[in-house]
Amino acid sequence: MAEKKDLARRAQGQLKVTMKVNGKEYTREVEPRTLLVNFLREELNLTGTHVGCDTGHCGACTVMMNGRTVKSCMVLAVQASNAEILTVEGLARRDGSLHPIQKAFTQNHGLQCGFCTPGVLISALFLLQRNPRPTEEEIRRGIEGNLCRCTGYVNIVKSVRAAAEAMSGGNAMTEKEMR
Amino acid sequence: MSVTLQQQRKEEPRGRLEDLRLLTGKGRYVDDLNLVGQAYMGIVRTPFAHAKIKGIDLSKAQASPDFVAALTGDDLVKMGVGMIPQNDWPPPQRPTTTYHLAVGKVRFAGEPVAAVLSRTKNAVEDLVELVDVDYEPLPAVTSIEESKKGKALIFEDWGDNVVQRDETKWGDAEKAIASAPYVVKAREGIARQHAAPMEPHSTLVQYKEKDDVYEVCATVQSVHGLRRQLASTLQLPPAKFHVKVMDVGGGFGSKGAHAYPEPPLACIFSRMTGLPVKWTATRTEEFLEAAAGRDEYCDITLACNGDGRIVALKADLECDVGVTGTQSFMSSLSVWTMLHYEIPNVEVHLAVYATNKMPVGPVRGAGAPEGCYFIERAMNKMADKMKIDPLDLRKRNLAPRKPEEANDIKLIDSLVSRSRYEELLRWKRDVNSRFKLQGPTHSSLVAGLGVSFGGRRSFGGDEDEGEEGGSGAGPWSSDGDSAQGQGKESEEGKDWSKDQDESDEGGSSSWKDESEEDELEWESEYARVSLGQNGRVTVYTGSSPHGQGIETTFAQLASEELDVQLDMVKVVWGDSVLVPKGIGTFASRSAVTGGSSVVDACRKLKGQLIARVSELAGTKAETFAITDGRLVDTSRPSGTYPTVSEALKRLGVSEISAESTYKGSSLTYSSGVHVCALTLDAELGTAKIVKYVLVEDCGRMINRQIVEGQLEGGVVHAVGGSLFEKLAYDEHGNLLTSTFVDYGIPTAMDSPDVEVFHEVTPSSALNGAKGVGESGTIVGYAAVMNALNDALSFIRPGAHVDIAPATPDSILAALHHSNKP
Repeated sequence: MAEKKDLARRAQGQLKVTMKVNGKEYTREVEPRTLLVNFLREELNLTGTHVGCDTGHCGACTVMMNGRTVKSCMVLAVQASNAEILTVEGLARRDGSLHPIQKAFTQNHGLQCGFCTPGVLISALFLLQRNPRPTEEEIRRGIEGNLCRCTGYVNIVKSVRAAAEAMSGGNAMTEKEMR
Repeated sequence: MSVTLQQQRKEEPRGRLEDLRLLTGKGRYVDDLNLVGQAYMGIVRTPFAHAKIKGIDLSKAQASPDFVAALTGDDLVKMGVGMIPQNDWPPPQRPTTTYHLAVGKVRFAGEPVAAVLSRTKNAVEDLVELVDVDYEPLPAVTSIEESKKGKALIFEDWGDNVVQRDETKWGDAEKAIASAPYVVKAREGIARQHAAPMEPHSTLVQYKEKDDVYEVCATVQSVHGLRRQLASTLQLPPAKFHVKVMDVGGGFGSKGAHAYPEPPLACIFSRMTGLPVKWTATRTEEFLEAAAGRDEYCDITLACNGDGRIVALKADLECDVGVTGTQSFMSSLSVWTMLHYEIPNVEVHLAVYATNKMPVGPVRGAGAPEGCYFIERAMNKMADKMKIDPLDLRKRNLAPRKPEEANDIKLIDSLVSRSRYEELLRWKRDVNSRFKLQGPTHSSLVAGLGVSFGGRRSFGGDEDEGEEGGSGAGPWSSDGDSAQGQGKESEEGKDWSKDQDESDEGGSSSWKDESEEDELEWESEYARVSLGQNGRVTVYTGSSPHGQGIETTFAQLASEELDVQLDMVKVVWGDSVLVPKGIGTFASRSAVTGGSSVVDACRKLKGQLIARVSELAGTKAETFAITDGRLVDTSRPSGTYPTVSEALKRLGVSEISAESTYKGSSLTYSSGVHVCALTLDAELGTAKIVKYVLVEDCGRMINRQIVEGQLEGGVVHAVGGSLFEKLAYDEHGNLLTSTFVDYGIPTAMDSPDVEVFHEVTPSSALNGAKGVGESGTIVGYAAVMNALNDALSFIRPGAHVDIAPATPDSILAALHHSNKP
């Protein structure tokens, strides 16, 4: 009896959330306490965005929300209602070819275990959109919110620098391609 | 060495085989996996470091609609589940009696007391909170001092809190010190530190009743290690567990040999309920439970003669292993690492203590960073005392009569010849000439330069044998010089294993399952290589990658050996069925052991193929070779020969394969010389590393990018460990640093650019490689701390910080209090 009551109460407590993720619109009913990162991972099966801590410090869950980076473990799914979200799964072009940032990371060995990488890529994109020619100091500041235990950041910095060169060089990408 | 340096210079691929999936969000880490109908496990953890469990009330949790099942320690005892398995290496260690869920009392804050199973993910933490546990707190032992005094007993039946005592001795250190012209003494140490891989631990288990098999996915550095743990805990044959893993988000030791309770608990739940069971640690659970390391302290005395040759080393090592558990061997490795110079008179005492803290385990370097730190910090103190260059002092103590030491001298010369050292010395003088303590325009930045040498070279196997007591002779070696070797049973080197034999009753289960036939030797690793008619090569390895790029490295080795394109090679790992045996990835071992067994298997495969083809062709096998996917008879270079796939078709086989458990003479490691340049803000007490240069002998670099990535990451690990990483506890044993807010690991802003140079010398490994995964960390601590102390002594002669991390508090205390050198 108590169980039924509880389930009914919970069903009433569900909220409808609609958001555009990587260009595609999704609607789901979720508990109000559902975090954006869990919404992406559990409801949409976009498991490229990772959970490395629960306090907003590691940055593994970094995604772009309406053009700005957010740590998706610090945002409720309902707060992202009607937002446009970009996750690592939306970085490569539709034909599967890699984004210049992704290319730069593989060529410069900017990842080892790969767990922090999706968040780092999103932070790097945000940085390069605002500052196409960052200095080493600016790159380090730009990814300061993403912890990496494997690389010591040496090759991450190298990768972001290479991406900056590729993106602002002869074959600069259009705004649309960069999303 | 069978691999030439010419081969090494061959064009290397850029980018790894692993990268595409990891860069596009398609990696498959354990928490990314879900099974239909899965339930979620939560762990009830004690908030007390030491307390009796008076009762556990599950009724509130049971009343929740999300409740599926629960387990307590008493349940495990009733089910006949085994205790937490222990390593018996190195002896003698005290045996412990702890369960996967506490029975009777808890021994560290965060220890699992009960487990609950929830229908939904969101409700897991609610259910955990609904479990009421009645505790009667006991005094908590939170330091080595309290442990020695016996403030309380961690294990009542021990009578004290000593886990292990050991002694390494040759010559007469006391006498040599008494007559030496130069003697330095110090108390050094490295605090307790967290491994902190970015991916928390996770487990997904499904018990398949039909086959009576547990399908287990877990974040591990060795699927076979976890299979052994599950088999011994649940007292079932290893074949009942199919352990798998694909991508692992870093380990640094914490996902290695230490036995955690969650995988066996998830197995029990899955069998009880028939549901798939998932568990993923929160970061706080990581901090509370994932095996931390270090927590070692050393009173060291070093004596030199007038020529700057070390004549004696005397050291008392103390190590706090918390509630000693699966792995407590790290301080023994510290002793071995300390002895990388040849020293004629040595006396090292080791004492390992239990406290009410989480059990430690190996963390990147596993005792070697501590040992290297102790000796290399003392070497710098000696150089200061003798007023000679610290690099010069090291050179004087590396004897060129031994080939490996001649190589080490080469590393130092290489650093000097590249003029990096000179440049940094100049930079230091410039910065420090601007520093004035008084005046309106003063700079508060002081520069410091530190060097460190690491040369642990080889471990285990034959290389240790026959050496005079010096570098390479570990404290447990059969060398008659060690107290253990003489079978001496005094307080030092007491043989606890005798006690263990007598008290070994009541389900204490051994780590090694004797019934298991696939036990491999430590110096080996399993590989199988198969070649199909389609020309594709599959490498099956017991190595277990979690960031090291093993997929790429091993594919390169197979492609090279069998002369096929890299994209024709597939590497299979992390599956206890597809790969029947293995040791795993830790201890800088995979390129050396796993890589060599891949090479060996490839050569066997090639030999088999050529033997069979030449038999068919009626020619001599010796003249056949595989070139560019074709079998070529080198004695008749103009003939037409079949491709490998044609040859297999003619032989009437779909594939040919060969296995190897290649065992080298020993594990072999890189050696290196590191230089750290930092600035210290004398007002704030903060240090920033501005440049880090190292010259390393990594042997043959199968993939240079990967090798350098390991070194760079290792160095930054040591930077964090030297400057700010510390697991802090209050006087009741509560962990004060349970998030990344309180326990900082280096960010990009804290980390230096690391410049890596190489000197390549032969290795004892079949593929020419040397282990590099931990070198950066092992050598890094002393380089950073020596640089810091260099800056400190510029501000105030005699000021020093010898316990890492050198936090701003300890730096300011050193600058403003009158501690004596």
